[in-house]
Amino acid sequence: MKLDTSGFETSMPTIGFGSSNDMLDGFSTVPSFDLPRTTDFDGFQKEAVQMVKPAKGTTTLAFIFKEGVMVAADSRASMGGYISSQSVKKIIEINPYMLGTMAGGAADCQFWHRNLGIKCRLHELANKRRISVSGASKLLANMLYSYRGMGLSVGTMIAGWDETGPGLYYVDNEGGRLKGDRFSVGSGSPYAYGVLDSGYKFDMSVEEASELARRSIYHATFRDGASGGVASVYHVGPNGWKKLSGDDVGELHYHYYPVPPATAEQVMEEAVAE
Amino acid sequence: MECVFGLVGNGFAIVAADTSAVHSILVHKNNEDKIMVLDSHKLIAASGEPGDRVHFTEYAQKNVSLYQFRNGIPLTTAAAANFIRRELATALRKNPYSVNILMAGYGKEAGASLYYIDYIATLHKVDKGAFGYGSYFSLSTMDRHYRSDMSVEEAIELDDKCIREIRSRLVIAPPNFVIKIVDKDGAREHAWRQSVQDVTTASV
Repeated sequence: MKLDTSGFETSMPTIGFGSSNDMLDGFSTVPSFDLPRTTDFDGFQKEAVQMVKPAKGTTTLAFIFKEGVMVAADSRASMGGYISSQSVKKIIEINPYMLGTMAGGAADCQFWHRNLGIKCRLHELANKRRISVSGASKLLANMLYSYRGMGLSVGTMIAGWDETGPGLYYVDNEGGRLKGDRFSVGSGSPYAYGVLDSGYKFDMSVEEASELARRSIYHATFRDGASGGVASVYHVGPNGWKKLSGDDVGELHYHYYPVPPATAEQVMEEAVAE
Repeated sequence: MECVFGLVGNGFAIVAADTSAVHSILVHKNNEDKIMVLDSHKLIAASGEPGDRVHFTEYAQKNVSLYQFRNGIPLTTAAAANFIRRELATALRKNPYSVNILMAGYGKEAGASLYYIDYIATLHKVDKGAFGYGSYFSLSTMDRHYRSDMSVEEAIELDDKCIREIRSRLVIAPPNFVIKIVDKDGAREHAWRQSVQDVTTASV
């Protein structure tokens, strides 16, 4: 299988260790790495994939509307039942007019988004124009496709504004790539879809859209144990992205559903007055 | 759960595919076009894993174009089908593609033809074929009502019969389908059958 290892910069041409020669026909310099020494190679791979599989514990969403693209995410990182962090940045700034969301393995998402940023910049320098959102998402999808079956866990959305207007693509670790108007990714995504779908209109103002995004994240964190922390909302407009808000979802709960004063205290006061 | 089926009529071939992009219990998209136009007179309807489906069909499309650039004439339908089968077969025992393909094409000498190519590189030239859970319902419907000299209207009626059967009998039936046709005038989209429209304005 031909791997896209351009992410690992190496100037030393080496012949692959243990790989069969017919795969190297036509490629004189192929960087390579050691395969793990194990008797049960298939079982080792399966374990690695299964371990990462349940780890898309997050809620991220993005949608296109009249004024551009709205992107929102929670900030909780969980390892099984343990909350390892409440302040993870899940919206990654690829370049000043393109954002990526993170769901799945944090290391995988951060590395590949950074790598995508490098490739986008190289494209700009080589072609003297910005790369389109379609092109950037296709670069990422091709890179991930070449690693399919190896246990990468990436469920990301690429949102940006290019010459054709706002663009939104969903890309995952199996190499799937979908163009769409509304996506939500992660364990909390069904909950977020419920609020997002029922409140969505194309003709929304930026304030209405950011409120819808914030509300959808809040409701997902309310029901999904693997989502929580801070609901961040970003807007991508014709001049690039801008962070709109970052609200703690615990405080949002009491903001949306304030607790009325308890009646028990009133009863006690009456008894004292008598 | 991905339903793909097709048949050959009088001087044309028609393929229909569902248009849902699904990830476990979530439907990400209701209008994903899974029938790719390979060149002016060929269509491939593909079903299978999403990354493999897009990657393999695009690879096939680029190679078919390359042949045409290099040699000045397009591949015949049979040649393209055999090329696709060969690629699937070579990859099969290294890193197999999980894609099932129905290829419809029109050539001057061969007329309209349909090829059934499954994920383990089986190749058959057929009059009618189907993949996915929907095939359990559409194959028998097509077997019963198919005739080799069907007109376009009769073929569309038969397609609609199959779609109705899939919608009523398959437990998680895809709501929307796209139908594409290829004949002497080329390959083009013929119709959509939508029972769920992607909502762009919410109903309060």
